Amino acid sequence: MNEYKYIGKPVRRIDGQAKVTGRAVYSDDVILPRTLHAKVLHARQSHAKILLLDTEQAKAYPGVAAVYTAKDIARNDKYFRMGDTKDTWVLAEEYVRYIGDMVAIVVAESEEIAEAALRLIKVEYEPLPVVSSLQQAKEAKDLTRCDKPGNVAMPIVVERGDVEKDFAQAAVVAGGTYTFPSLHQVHLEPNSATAVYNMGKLAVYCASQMWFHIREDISAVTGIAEKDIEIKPMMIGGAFGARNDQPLPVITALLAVMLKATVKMTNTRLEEFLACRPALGMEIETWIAADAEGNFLSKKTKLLSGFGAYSSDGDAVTAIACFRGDNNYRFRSTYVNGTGLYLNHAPTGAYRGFGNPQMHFALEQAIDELAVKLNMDPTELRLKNFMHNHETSIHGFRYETNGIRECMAQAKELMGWDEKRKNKTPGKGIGVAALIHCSGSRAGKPEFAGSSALLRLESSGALTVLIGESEIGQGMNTVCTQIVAEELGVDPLSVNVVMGDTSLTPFSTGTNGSKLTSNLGIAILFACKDLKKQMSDCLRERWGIGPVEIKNGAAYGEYTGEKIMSFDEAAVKCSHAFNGRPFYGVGIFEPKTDLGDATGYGNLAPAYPFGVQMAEVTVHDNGTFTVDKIVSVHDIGKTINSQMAMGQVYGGVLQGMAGVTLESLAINKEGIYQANTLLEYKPPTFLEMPEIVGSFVETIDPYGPYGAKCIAEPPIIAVAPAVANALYDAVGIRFEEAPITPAIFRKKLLEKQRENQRQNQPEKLPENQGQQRTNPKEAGS
Amino acid sequence: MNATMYELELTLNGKKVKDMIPSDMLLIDYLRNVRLLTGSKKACGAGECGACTVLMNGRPIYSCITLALQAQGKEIETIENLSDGDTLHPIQEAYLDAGAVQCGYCTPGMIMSTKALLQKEPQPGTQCIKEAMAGNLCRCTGYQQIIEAVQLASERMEQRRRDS
Ligand code: FES
Ligand code: FES
Repeated sequence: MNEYKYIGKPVRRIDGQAKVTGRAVYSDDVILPRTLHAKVLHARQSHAKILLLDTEQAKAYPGVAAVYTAKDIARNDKYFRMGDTKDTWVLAEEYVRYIGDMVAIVVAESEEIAEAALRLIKVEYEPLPVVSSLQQAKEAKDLTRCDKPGNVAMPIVVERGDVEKDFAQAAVVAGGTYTFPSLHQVHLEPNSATAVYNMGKLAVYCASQMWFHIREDISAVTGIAEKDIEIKPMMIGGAFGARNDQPLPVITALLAVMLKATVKMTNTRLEEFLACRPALGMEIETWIAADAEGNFLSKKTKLLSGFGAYSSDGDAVTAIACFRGDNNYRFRSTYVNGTGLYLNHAPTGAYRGFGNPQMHFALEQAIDELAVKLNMDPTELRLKNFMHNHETSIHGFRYETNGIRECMAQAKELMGWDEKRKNKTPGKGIGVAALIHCSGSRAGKPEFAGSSALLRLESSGALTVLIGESEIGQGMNTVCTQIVAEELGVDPLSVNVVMGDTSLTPFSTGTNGSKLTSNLGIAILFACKDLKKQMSDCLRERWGIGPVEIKNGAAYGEYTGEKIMSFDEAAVKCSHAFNGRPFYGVGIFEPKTDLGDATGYGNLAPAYPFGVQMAEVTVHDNGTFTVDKIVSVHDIGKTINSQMAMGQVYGGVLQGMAGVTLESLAINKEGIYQANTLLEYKPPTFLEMPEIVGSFVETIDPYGPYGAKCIAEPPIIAVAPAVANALYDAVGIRFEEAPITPAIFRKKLLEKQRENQRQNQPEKLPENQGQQRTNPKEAGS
Repeated sequence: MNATMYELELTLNGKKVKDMIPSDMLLIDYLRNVRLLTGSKKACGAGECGACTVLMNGRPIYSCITLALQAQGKEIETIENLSDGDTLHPIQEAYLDAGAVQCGYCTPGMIMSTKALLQKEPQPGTQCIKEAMAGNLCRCTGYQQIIEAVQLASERMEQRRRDS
């Protein structure tokens, strides 16, 4: 095995010092002279016709620069490029379709004035029926929007193999209908942007996972050419998918252009909840057919997903939910019927895992159910059916490395699985779930599959990596410095990284699909090699030195192995040989992957990460439960930064656990988010942490840099089913609906106890029979 | 915004300062917008996340639900006071060494809460850390490495006390 100096080590974050001292500049920290402040008037109704919209009083308010409604915006229908449907407007025209839909905007001298003026805008609505649930949308009696009959935003129907035949031959069939609610990313930093317009040019200071796409959006809405727009990347306070599609920077830019001014807008937390892009809620009916030995034959799935009132990332997320989970196992056939439905709530999109956690919640519980029916250890059942190295899955994924079996072995060890299964402790339960994801998914990237990177060397010896992706907390900027340090032998903290300044960096399709380390990492590696070659060529041709090799922070004679000059001296020589020009190492990585054919078939990623997650729960005497421990083992390919990789595991696991046991937007029949504060939505605090044991299996993938795959998304993916399966193990109740809050758990447990009593004493009538599941918030969780 | 203007005098990061401010101005807005100390963050504005945590006479407070005038005559310390621009405070060092920083938006508030905790309880156990810091949300780290950072800072500060 290779010995690396920086790769695999807990190298300090390059942006760490700025972050711990409060010097890091995030979007809302941008304070520029002569700035106007904007505030949006959001709809107060989930679905209504706008009868009257009167802004006169607001316009007359002292300090107000402008009040705009849809009719003031020339290119109101040019929003939004994401999603093929293009069914969104900048401001609502005739109808509002979710609480949070944007109706009017005030721009004023201060935020306070803008807020005061907002209250003077008069709106009259004619309420229309609200479509708030997937079932209601599917029935299509009421319409989410009058221009979309049937409420269908997208259908997917795909069959591979002969599903009916395989089901007819099956010895066992297991499954059910599993529902997973719309969750919110809750990145801690609310969206903020400052846009500066000057003489036909625009600069926008903001946060994004897709700098170039946001520039495209701004161009579409303002009519200013992309080359006249500069996106200034700010430090980003978390993203988790939420910053794939953000209206705020686009609108701020538009206002700056309309007013020929500098405009700033910052969301409140409430606006983050109401007017952003949470994850898709899904209802998934799935059945697995197996033979008597437990070999999987086929899988049948019907999936409904909630798009919200307009399309954002809904189509791509739904497609991934439909297909990805299947690829972990050997199926002979599979059928999926997926329908994306419009609902009167916020448009939905990407959240860490991108539809995969929703599907895993269904699939991994169905497999657990199958194990029960077969009377098999659920780990054995999975081991029997996992895919192998070099196999191609039913949807066309090809695995160069697949460490899922090693992950299972490690997870069992770390959980003490066999021992705990043999000697069951009453009130305790353990559960397992496996996962698969993509490292650098091609899905939804029509432009190209790969990444490119520049590495600039100045005469001073300063090295700067220039890339078009984003640092969202995941630590990619530090990974860049590690790769450069490893290749050139310089101190990683001495390497600069510019991410996403659209006037300086290569174009990028965005920071998503867990593709940065695996795809971009190789591009950076290639850029290093290119730079080294250019330097040694220059030293030989222009200075007659060499041949040399650049390594260990210096130039060495290739034959003598002796140090000839320091890296900085070589930099000066190179630059001066060309009248001061910097040297640019260029790295391009183009993976051999497919966009997927019309049926979604194809090898979407250069590499695939696998993992096994296990949960241990305790049921308390008062009928509630706690998650005590989660084991999370990942086939990461090769760890680039051991400490940051573990940080991804801890963060992802806790997010996954909270997503199934605590969090809920609690959307009611009126389409209102009853949980629209941090207190009510309940992201986990220190007090809800279980013990998390993370571990890695290094399979050394032939594609990734040094063999690396990815780690950002996988840790969230199978936590929910692992917890649900552990609860089943503890109390014998299948929790098909998330969230499983302690309060909901208690209710179900009591129901079951009553049921048992009833069976023992048939004369007693049960209470609460057929009662609907109460809203988690009403249940006093 | 028609609030009366008042004179606010306080000790901010060790220096006496004086400003005319509206009576309804929040401490976080005073720090960020008047004093340009943007290290403290406003992530909820409702006392629910701790990103705005600063120390008032050594005690951690949510500056987003505190009026600036409540700081009258008091000592306020913000994240900007912890490093002189060349060296880091041991708590800051520990956060970096333990990998307790990801997106960093919670970090200034976390570090201020840590400072207050270690002042009161120089060697806190895990449960004590969890309880003391439960008012600070972090969405990225899963908290484990933050707990490790607090413990590391505690050890190093203890070592320093012993050495001096
Ligand atoms: S911003 Fe003050 S507690 Fe959240
Ligand atoms: S590091 Fe991102 S919120 Fe804590």
